[in-house]
Amino acid sequence: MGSSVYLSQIQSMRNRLPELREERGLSQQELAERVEVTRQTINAVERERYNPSLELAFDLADEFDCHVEDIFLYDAD
Amino acid sequence: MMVTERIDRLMQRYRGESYGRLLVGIYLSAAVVWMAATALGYPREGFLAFVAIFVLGLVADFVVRRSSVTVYDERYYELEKRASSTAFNIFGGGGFIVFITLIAAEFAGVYEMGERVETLFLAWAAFVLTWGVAYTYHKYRA
Repeated sequence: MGSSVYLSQIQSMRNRLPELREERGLSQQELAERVEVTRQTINAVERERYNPSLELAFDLADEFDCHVEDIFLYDAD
Repeated sequence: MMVTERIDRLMQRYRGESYGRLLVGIYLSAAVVWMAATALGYPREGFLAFVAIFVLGLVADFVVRRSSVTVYDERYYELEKRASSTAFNIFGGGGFIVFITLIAAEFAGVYEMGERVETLFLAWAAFVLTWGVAYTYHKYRA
């Protein structure tokens, strides 16, 4: 049951991270270093296989100089 | 420049994931060396090698955690939680089914629990109890 709840949470979140990162000409590794996580974590977020913590979401928003909701989109349907 | 700064600069040459793989390699090799030495008839030497390699892994882990290279992050801890949950479900849930079945069979008089199975049952009960205590602790601490 726990994993199905987790999966449904993952499936309801969308993000514009690849688009924003590429607009700024950053590699996954460079972005990872800037927000102090691993490259695999950035990759997992971009592929919508991992929902970041609020702290990381805010760090990413700070890095792209935008609001969290400009990166992450919640799709309840 | 301080020694720690030098080590940190040296470590920044490689990505965090490379250090992650290195640490996994060290811990795995400790187990492999022990098993191989035991299979070759050197259990004592194998055990000593295991301890030495494992301690080396702990030291490397400590150094990596103190450096500015990110090896462990929030996703690692999330995966760790999920792995722990899966392991608990397998051993906790699996054990429940197995031992309840055995106890029922014993009451029905078709099975008698041996000393080894009884020890396993007590170990399982202690494991589940430990989980319960840890859960209660975190529930009231949070």
